[in-house]
Amino acid sequence: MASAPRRRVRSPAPARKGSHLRVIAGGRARSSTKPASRLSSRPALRFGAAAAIVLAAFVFGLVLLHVLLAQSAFRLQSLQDEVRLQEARFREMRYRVASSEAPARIAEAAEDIGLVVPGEQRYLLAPEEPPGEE
Amino acid sequence: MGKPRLRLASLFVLLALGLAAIAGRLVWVQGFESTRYVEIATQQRERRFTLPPQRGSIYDRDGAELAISMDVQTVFANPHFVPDAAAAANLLAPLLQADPAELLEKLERESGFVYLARKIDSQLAEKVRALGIPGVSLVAESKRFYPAGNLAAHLLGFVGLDNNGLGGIEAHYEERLRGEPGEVLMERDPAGRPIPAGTWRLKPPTAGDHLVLTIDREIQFAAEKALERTVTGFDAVGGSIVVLRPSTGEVLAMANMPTFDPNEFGASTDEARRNRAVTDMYEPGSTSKVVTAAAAIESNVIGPADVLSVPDRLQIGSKVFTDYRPHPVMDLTFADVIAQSSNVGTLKVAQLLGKEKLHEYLGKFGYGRRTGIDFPGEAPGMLPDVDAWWTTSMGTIPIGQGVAVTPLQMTSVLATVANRGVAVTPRIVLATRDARGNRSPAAAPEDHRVIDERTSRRLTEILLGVTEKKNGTGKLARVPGYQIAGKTGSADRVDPGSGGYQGYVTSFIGFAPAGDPQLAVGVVIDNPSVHVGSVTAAPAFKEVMQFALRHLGIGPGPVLPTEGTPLPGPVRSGGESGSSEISALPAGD
Repeated sequence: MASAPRRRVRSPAPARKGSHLRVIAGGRARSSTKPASRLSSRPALRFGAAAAIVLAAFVFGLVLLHVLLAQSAFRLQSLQDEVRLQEARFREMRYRVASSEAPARIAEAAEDIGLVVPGEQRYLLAPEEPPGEE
Repeated sequence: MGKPRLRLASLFVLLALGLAAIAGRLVWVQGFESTRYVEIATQQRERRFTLPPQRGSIYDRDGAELAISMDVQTVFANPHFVPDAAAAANLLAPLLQADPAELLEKLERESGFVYLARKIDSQLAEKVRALGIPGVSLVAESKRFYPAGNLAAHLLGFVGLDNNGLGGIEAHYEERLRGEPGEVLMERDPAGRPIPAGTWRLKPPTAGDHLVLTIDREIQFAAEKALERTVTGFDAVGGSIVVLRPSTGEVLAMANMPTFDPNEFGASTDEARRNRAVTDMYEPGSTSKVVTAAAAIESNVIGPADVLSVPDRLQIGSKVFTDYRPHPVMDLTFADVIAQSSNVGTLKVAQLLGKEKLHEYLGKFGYGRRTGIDFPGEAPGMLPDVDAWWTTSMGTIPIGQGVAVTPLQMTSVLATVANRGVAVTPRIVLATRDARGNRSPAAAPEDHRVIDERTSRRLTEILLGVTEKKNGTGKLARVPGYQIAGKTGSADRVDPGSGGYQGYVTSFIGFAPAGDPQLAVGVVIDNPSVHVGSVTAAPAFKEVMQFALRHLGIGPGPVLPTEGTPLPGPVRSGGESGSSEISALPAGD
């Protein structure tokens, strides 16, 4: 069996001169540093979350606005179509009225109910001077 | 050691080349070719539509609609988008009153667009829309309608498939009626729907102006009915009736036979669509004696009460001209010559007048010249230059043969006499109205004096005798309660086919009330079975004039004396039994 390659174990480096690190008494110092870093990252998280929410709200608002705009445009289009339709109906009704009022149709309808063309007109001459009141 | 580096270097070079190619293409597309691609993209998204203008309506003088444009729906399909052509054809066929097989054939065509039904009414269109067949759509198209059918058809004219005027007022006032088309530019999605926030540029169309005509719908109808009865009753080829207001030149009615329905003008013939009153010339015959008389009176050649010795025939050049019926030599006043429509008497007066003077007055009354009415295709009539007259022309032109006029021209002649000697250009359009309702009256018509007022009055008194005297030829034109001045006419008819004379044209043209003329009516009948205007045209005149006077509330007006003293009978007998026989005979023209 081949022996496993030996790993070279580095001896711990001697403390460099002028290092800022220093030994703190007790093991608490390590544990006491963790809550401090959590506390310091919370505002960033909050800011990030808030920014994400604002961004999401902004995007959602933008989409909503676009949808509303689109809906309005479709509604406008629909109303314009309706206006055109009603105008067309109005003109059609005007046409029907004009057709109904046509002299030929009226003459035919009059004959149907037994009306006749009037006789010749007669004029009576009034006296030149009105009769006196006495 | 070297190989991995080579591989890395190769990969790097490849990637670099690839990126460079992409970057190069990017620069090419975005830099050098950007304009082209922008155009292509724009073409894909943007659609430009022409918005047709609303054609102006045409109204009668009282605001009744005579022509109106309406949007109607046209059904079309894109066969590529119709999932089940057979089902669609079966659903549409009963609504569109079409053959299902025919519809199916259209819906199965390898085409992106087929018409299924054009210009259907809105109710039917709604039913088609309600079916919701994919690929089947509706589009609005404008269509011209004439609600009163054939009423004033010749005046109104008609429009073609593209709503452009092809005849009558529709053609003459095309530019005013048509309006200006608009345009809309919009962005559309691939399904063809407008993109709400996309480009939208609108240039709205300008609607055409509305026309208010001088025509009175009721009088027009009365004229058409009277004309129809006359033409049918006398088995005539056709005819025309014109009603004018002498003082303003307004045409209150212009009827023609045969007629047509402008709603279906394609089903009519050119013959039926012609406005004969304006475009057809005829030799006026005895109604033209009015001009001869006016010239003679104004030139002081003769007075209404002056007596003439009138035989029944007169030789001029190589020809002998006769009166309508043989009679002994009679002494007639000039007023009686006109009242009895004596050809010989009129020719004798014309000889005293001379051809230059007669030609001058014919020209003054508008012979050979268009009246200037606002209507297309007006004929000018025909008046030969005096130098071109034959010797025998003095036997024909004074009695209305050898010259040609339109019914409108001849009615204008009588209207001039009625208007105290002033001719007013006839007109059909009273006013225009724009889309906002602003009304602009038409320009005042031109007028000019033709004869002086005194001549006009004396002539009116002579023409009164035509309807009121015992031997007058126009007794059937009398309207009870009114004095009618007018003149009958009967002339040889020029056959349009051969160019020779064949048949007759009869007429009665007059005005009323004679004491204060308000209306002039001309009736011209083309080749009736009875050849005198006193029998054919005079009753139609009476019918129209009576209706118009009543409809417009025109009273009888001041009473005029008839000019000239009627003589008891022939003074000089020609060997015939004479007067009683002449009196008993139906009058000629």
